[in-house]
Amino acid sequence: MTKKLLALLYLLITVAGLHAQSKLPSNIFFKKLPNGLDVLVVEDNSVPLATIMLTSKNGSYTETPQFNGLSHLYEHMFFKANKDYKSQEEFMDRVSELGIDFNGTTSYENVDYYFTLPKFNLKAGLKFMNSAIRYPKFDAQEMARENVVVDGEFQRKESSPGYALNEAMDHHLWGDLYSRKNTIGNHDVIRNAVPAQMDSIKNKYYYPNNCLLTIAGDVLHNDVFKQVEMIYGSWPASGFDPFKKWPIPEFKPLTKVDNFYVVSNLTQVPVLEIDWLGPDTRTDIPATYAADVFSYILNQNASKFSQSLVQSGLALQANIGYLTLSHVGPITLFVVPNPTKVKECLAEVKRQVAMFDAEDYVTNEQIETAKLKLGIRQTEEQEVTSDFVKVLSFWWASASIDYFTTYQENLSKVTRADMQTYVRKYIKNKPYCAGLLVNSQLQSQVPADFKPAN
Amino acid sequence: MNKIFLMLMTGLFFVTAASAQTTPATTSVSTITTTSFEVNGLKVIFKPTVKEVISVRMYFRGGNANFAASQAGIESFALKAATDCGVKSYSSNTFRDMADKYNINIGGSADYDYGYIGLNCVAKYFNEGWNLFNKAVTEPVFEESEVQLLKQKALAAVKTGETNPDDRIEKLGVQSAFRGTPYAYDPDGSEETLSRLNGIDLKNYYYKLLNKNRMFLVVAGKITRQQLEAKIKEAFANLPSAPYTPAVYQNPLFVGDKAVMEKRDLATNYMSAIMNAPVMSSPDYVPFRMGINALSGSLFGQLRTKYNLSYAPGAFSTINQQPYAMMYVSTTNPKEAARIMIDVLNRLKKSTLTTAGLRDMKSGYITTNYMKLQNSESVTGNLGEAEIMGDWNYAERMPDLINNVTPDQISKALNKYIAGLRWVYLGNEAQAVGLFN
Repeated sequence: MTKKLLALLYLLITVAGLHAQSKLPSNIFFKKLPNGLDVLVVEDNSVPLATIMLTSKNGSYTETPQFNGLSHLYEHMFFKANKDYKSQEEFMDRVSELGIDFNGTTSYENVDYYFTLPKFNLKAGLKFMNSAIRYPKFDAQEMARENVVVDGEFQRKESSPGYALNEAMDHHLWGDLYSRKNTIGNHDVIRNAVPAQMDSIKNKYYYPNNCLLTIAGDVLHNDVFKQVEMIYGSWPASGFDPFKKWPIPEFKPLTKVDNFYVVSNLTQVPVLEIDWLGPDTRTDIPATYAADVFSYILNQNASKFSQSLVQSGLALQANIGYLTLSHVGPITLFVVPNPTKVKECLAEVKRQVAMFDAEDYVTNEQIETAKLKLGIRQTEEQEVTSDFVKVLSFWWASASIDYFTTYQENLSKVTRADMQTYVRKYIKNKPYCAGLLVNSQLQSQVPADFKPAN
Repeated sequence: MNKIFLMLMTGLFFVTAASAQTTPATTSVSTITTTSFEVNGLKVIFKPTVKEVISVRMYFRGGNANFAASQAGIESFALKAATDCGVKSYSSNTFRDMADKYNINIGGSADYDYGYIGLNCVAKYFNEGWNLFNKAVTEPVFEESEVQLLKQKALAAVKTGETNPDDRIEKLGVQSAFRGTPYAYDPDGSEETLSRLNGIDLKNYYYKLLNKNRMFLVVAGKITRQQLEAKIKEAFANLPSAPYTPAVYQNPLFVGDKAVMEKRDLATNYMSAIMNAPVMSSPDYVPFRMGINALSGSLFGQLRTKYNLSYAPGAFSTINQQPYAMMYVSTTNPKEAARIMIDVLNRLKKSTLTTAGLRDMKSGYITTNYMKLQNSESVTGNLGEAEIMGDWNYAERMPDLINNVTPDQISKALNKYIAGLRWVYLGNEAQAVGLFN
């Protein structure tokens, strides 16, 4: 599974001067408060629940090496003491009282916090979210304990078979800016984090003009907007754009093909990952649409890519995906080679990549199927409203809500020529990083051009 | 391999008394829309929904009880192959291309107590989805070349599953705790058992499984009963019928503590303890489940919040013919974590939940229950599992049953079922010395 497929997300763009309301589906409503807080309401009365999600444009892309992993630690500290709830125990008691199912996620370009609760607790839930997001306490003792807990999460990640390859790939791909794409962070940074660093993050990124509040479920948008204005209207804007004040550095283009291999006895099957630096929503929106259609073609059973790799028996799995981001989304080709045919599989992958822009590489039918599938996928994403808010948040952070509302329309315009342009600009004959994950028994299968070991 | 999301634990319930805040009384949730009927002798369980995604599952009763240990994995493999290795009407490639075109998701799977072939698609393309689904159920051909390709994937999946610590520790624990029963072997099979299977084996197995007396259909989605009945009549008019005797289970009672260890070179250690639990049809089931919820919350409160020994401690109970509960932790300090786990468990057995604590737990349950109802696939999964356990109505009645549970019932249920522990440890050998002595 590619990052794209795993993340269930894909799309987006810049947030400049959009009028999302004019194109929103009939059950979605948008409002910007005077303090800059973007508010989305999704009406869905299928079950008597409401989900409140607060999203901040924060995450690993804002992190220097000294702060690597602290957006994620901040996310954990959100669920602890604040001005109105004096300890984590009090916070958790309130969670229980309100019947809340909660979670937080930290990714490259956004951090989300959500509460799903019975609809009759919506107002109390909005106030509870307000206390946590605006007035966190960062209690030193609670934080010292949480540093260890977050490090424990990191250790679980390290115990998974794919971690070694992911970690190595990120270093190869992003170089000096590795921290900007490493959400889990650094053990030492996490273990030694102090409240002052949390304050620093809050004072940069946790302002209404850098946040989205989404309320979804069995709610009425006018009522919700009123309540939100009453509770969040007093949240002061920062008076600055954090991304102008602390710009995200630009990722350097790759200069050469970089093959490497990683040995980990946690894996039982070989795994090949090839990554290119793809387009982003600040600089090349058309390529992001072409990337999605192209990926959906190649992942079809009928594609030359699938037939030559999976149906031929050379690979057990082969996917390609592009992760839509505002700062260089990676294009990831993920292959599980047949353990007895690793070298042949790698050779076939290279052969296929060389043909990506050929006139006859994809058929007209495959192009139309890809567009149809992407449209169906959008429908499926909206089935579970408490999950759909996460997708909307991702779009808002990495692109815009407008990107989501016009996505189908823009996909339908993608042509074979657009995909060829995308392939030639980002993939074919472009530098890439290729990593092969093997265990000690499979080491003999590693081709010469992947040595020496990472 | 997902780097996108870094999750916190969710849904925690504490045994402490809540503050004086008044929670509005939740009305009893009774889903009256689910119905059951027969079409040509096939039992159908149907829940209409308002969402765009339709979920269909054809269940086969029996699971591991249908085959011997030497054939472990055959049902899972056969059900996967039924949807992936061709049908009489279409070659495997054509079948997959048709599914691809409309993003139709069809697959087979088997667990300890049942297997199923499932379909998920959007309502707009339900006709196309149903066409493929009914052919996968009634006329799979198990093309040998496709079976061999699928076998390679199945073998890789089994190997990969062994490297996932969370999956591995549960399977290892169940196999050990239920030795001598059908749960002693993995429903997905092993390298050894899967390697022996071919297309003919799968075909023979599947067509014996295809017997409407052991099958039932569960559907949830935006479709009317009339439309559905017409489709079932047409598609499943000729399902074979043969005598079927359900398996009888002898659930082992755990007396005293035992431990199984597997050395792993990991960044942290994984540890769990399996306990006896009641079946879904038992009056003890709901109180016990609430008690395990309380245990999960207490473990989180102690191991994560108070002592920061773990990111992911918790407990759950299963819905099985041979049910069990499991408390788990991942930690770099297993001795201290085990001591606290035992302490939390013993204290919980000796205490009684507060009324406020139980009220909050029920409130949280209402939320998670409705969350599941948003998703057609969850709905068919819940109804199907309950039917396997004896009656799909268990799933429907669960909110009401939970609303009526008392602290005393919970305490009694925990004490009745939790005696011996079956510990499992995956990780550093040196840190486990003396751990379970």
